[in-house]
Amino acid sequence: MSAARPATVGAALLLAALLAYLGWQAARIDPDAHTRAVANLSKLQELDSTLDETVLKLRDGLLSTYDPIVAALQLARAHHADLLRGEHAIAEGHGTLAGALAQLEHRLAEKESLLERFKSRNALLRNSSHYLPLAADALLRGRSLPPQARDAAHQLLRDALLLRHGATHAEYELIGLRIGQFRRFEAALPHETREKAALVLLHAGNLAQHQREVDRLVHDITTPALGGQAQPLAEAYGAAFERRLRQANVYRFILLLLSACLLTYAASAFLRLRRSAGELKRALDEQAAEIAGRRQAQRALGESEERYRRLFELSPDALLIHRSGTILLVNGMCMKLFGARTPEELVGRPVLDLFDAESRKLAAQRIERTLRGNQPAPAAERRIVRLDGATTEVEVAASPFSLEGSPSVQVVLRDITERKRAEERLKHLAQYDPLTGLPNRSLFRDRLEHGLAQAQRSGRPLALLFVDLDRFKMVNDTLGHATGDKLLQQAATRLKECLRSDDTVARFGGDEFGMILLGLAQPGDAGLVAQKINALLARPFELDGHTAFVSASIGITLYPDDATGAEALSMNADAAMYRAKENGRNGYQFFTPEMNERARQRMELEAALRKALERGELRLHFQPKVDLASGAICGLEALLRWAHPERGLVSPAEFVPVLEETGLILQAGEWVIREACRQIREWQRAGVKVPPVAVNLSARQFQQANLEQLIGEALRQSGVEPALLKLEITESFLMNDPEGAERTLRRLKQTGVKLSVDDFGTGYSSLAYLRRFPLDELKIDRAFIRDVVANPDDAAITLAVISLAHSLNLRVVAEGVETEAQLNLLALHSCDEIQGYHFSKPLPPPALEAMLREGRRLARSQDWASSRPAVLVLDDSEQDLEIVRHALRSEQFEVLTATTVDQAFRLLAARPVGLVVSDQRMPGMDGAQFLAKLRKLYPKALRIAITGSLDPEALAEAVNEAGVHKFLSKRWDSERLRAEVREAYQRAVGGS
Amino acid sequence: MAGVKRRVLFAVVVACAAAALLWQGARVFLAPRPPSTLAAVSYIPPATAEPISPIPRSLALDARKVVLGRRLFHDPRLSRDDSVACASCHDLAKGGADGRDRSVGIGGQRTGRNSPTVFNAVFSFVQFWDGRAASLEDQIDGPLNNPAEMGSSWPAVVAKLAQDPQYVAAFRGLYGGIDAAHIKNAIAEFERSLITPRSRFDRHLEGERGALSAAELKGYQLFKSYGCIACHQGVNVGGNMYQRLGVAQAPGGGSEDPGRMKITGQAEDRFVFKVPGLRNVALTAPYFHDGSVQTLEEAVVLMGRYQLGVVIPAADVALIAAFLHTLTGDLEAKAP
Repeated sequence: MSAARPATVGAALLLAALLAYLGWQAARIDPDAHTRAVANLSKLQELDSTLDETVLKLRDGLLSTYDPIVAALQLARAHHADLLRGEHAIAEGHGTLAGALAQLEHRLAEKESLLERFKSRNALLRNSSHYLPLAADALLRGRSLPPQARDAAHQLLRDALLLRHGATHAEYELIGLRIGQFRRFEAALPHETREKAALVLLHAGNLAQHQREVDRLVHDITTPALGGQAQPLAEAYGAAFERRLRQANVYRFILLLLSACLLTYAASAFLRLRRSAGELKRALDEQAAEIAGRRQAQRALGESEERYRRLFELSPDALLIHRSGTILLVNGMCMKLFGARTPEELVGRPVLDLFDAESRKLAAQRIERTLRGNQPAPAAERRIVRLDGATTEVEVAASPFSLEGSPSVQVVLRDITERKRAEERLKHLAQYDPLTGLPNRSLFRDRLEHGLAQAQRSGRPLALLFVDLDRFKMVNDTLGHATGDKLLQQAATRLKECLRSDDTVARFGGDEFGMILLGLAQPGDAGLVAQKINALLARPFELDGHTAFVSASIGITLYPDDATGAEALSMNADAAMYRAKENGRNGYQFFTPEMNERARQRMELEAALRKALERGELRLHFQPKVDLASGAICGLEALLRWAHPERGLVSPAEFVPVLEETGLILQAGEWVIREACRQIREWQRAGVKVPPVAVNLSARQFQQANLEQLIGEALRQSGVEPALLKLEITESFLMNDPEGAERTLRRLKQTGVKLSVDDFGTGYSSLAYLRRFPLDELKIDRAFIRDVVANPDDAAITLAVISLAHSLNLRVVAEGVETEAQLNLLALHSCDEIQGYHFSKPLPPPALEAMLREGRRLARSQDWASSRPAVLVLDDSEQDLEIVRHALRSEQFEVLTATTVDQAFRLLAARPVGLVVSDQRMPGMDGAQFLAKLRKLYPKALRIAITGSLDPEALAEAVNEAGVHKFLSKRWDSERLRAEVREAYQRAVGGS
Repeated sequence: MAGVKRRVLFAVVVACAAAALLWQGARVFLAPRPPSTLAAVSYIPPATAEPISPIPRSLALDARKVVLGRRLFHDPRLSRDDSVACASCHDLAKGGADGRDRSVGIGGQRTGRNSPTVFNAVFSFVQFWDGRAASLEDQIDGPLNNPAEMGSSWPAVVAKLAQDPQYVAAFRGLYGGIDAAHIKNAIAEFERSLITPRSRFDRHLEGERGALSAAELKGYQLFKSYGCIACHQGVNVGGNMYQRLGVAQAPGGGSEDPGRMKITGQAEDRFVFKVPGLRNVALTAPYFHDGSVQTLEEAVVLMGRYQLGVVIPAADVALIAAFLHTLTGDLEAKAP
């Protein structure tokens, strides 16, 4: 006995340690930590891209403060610290995760130090690029600079100012060389000049050094993104968490099993004890000699009973024993579980009363089975009702048990509420959008299937709505992602307000939402809901002190009217939503079969186009461009035509958009380049002198990675010199992504072709970029040329583009020139080339060849420059005009008259005018305004204003704004009028 | 006798096992959530294109900690001989600094650098002239332990403050007890409250007409066009980056302070300092890290020569100084 004691104690200690270990392992899982880690990681990724974006903005001067960098770094540090804080439980023993975390930390620190350097270098770079031209100006203005030094300074300045980010090694080397060249002269300069030269050298050196360093820093900062590290980290987190969860479940299972075993053992020991006690009593009467031994045995059994009671009482699980469904015994944990203060509150009650209605039937069956089969029942999940009426999730295991000879059941109950809650949360994460708490796309899909089944049964229509927020991207871009997220949350709340309890609203991601409306009384009700959504979302959003406005485009489709399948309905709703967007946002659109019809026509056209490409039905026509100085043809533009076998020539307006949408534009574009080269070569072989030929590049082509190889190959195969090929790129493509465009343009330029910007004036060009692009030509959009003669605004834009192009050393081509008047105006303002029906429409190759052979030139009806300038008189009164005409009838110049401003501009464009006499009060446009515009468009023509009154303010304005040469009174005096006009005319035409 | 002993032992073992299980179960429910560290970020700049943004009217702070921090800030017991408080060199009535070229620590010793203003220090991305402390909390370690400044140590300070029943009660209520980290947090929280909004320049930025005179506006234009703005930008008009002193011309007069190189050990950080914020600059003479410059005008002239390589004409210097005067914010409410 004394030998057994230490063994028993040892075993008990071991068991206790085991239980404690298992319990500890099972509790070591925290779903919150996981969720927070994932949120931190995604925030880190987001902050990283915010940082990159901020750095690029700073480099390009779009932002001029470093506070956003500081704030983003502080936030990133905070999220990183939070990440490390929660990481221990999961990361333990997971090498990949620890490695990924260390890598992230390293990258963050590295990025921080790069950013510090970027801030100080970028500041120096900005000041040096500001001061270099000033310093150079001060140096070059002085007279004491020898000519050679002056040249060297010029070269240095030119090359240094041309530096920009992305400059090559060679370009930096060149600056170094220039600095060296100039430095040689420095020592020989007189003292004062030497100081100025030193300043130039300082700023040029700084510019080159910092430009280069900023370049490298921006590159190092933006690549690789933190996101690259965060992705594997997130995966490692997920994997580690999964592993922990699995482990915890295994430990729980073992723990449960062990408890059940222990209890069974204890119960059987208890029963054995009872039986033995009875036998002992009988034997006592018979065998006195055995009393001592029996007593010993009895004591042992008594201890066993005691042990069982203690085990039963102290078990961490809730235990109860019932016979034929009536509770006999409960332990403390069981009382706690049910909220009973004394065992009497439970003992004697039917065990089935403890379960809720749903679980009761299942429990009854199991008790029956357990008793009949005399086998333990495996653990099952049930819901019990506490004495206070609340319900709790438990895991129940039961085993048959013989108590005082009658079959009984021992039940182990375990509270699993917390585990259930964790499982629920994980499920929620998989089915709900974490930002808004709305269902995600996959749950939405389930609900839709479910809703469709329900609608089929009830026979009531169902509506499917797709909602897309307009202008959300703008909010995100201007106010930041955090604010964008807030907007989405508020929008989600408002959408929920529009719905009844059965309906579903989900977020698909980004700014897209979906809705299911069930049991509509009539289909039109969906429109009412859509109106309500539009109205609610149109109200201002208050976001951290900003007020943002968005609107929604909504597509609606109905079951069963439009389709019956979930897939088809989704496509319909999508099509309807896009139509709503096309129709101008903030509206809704019901799906109609025509939307499909239009899509079908598109597909047919697409199929026909594919065939056309295979069968070679595409053609090139060429439209000549004419040099205004010489009148000769100086270029051609190749234009795509489709010779359809049945429909004849198809308008490009009809098929080019389809080419672009389907991606066939790449194939077609390649064909155009090859065909243009081939045509050039063919003409050259035939002995025709061919001017450069321009082909249009589409946006898709422009983004094509191997574009310059393709062009190089076409040139090589045809043997055409690169300078004969010109590429026209629409302005708006260039400005979509100016950085990328600049790289592409430089690559293209290296192949030797010429580059031209098409449709100029319609996009929003940044002058800074235009200067950096290696361009040869600008083409003014035809929209401005159309009314250039009559509309002074269009004329002003055209003039501005011409002078801009000339200041950038680019040639200017005016497109869509159709009249002599347009031509004259453009020639007057030194536009270089024109293109349009006035000279020739686009022609098929043979006709164009004939034109080239003939050497046709632009005919001008009169020689503009040498014709004698006329005098233009503008007055809204026909009668006054008559007086003037009469007064000037015998002068040597021609007198033109106009009663409206439009008419006056038309006349001005048609022929040279040396002097304009205008009434100061005109309907439509103030006379002074007219004269001011006139001054801008025709600065050489002298201006005389005729006034009715002599209001000093009007006079001052006329002199200051319009540069009026002279005023005449409205009280016509023929003699005076003649004298004044004659004098002014002489002055205007310089006495000729 | 042996049976009783055994039963007791057994009961103890089972009770231990049960207790262990219970404790482990409870751990899941009772585990304290680690407090979020995200509260450490106190200022998010607005998304504007202007290089300078106005100081917010207030930051979200715990007013009780601010009150406690204010007391600590003015308490000389933080120094070894109870003679120097934080406020000795960062006098709220003297623009948050002390008006000396170098400050005076215990026993009349002189410090290595000019004491920077405590006003708006919350907006500085790092603390000290050489940025060696990442936060306001970390900064406190510097002067407290420096033998030439307060010459004390945390164990000594904690022991002294623990004698004061008022402190003991305040710390117990707010933090649960006195220790170095809690003292630093309270002082830093007070320092975060020392922001100076509503300067005339901020009112101009916020759209108030007539907040600046024509000369001051012209001064701001010059401040930008001369390029001062390249470094002195952001909410604190500086204080968010490092820059080398003497980009264009090395400062004369034997300035041997190597600046940030002392911290990083890298040669490229020689003479690199944190760009100081210019808020309330009119009140914080003398200027520069060594306090060698007495007037604002002289500072502008020297900055132009050292950093930009230009000689700014006297008329422009006066205009820029006029603009700098408009950066003085609302200090009245903060003075003790």
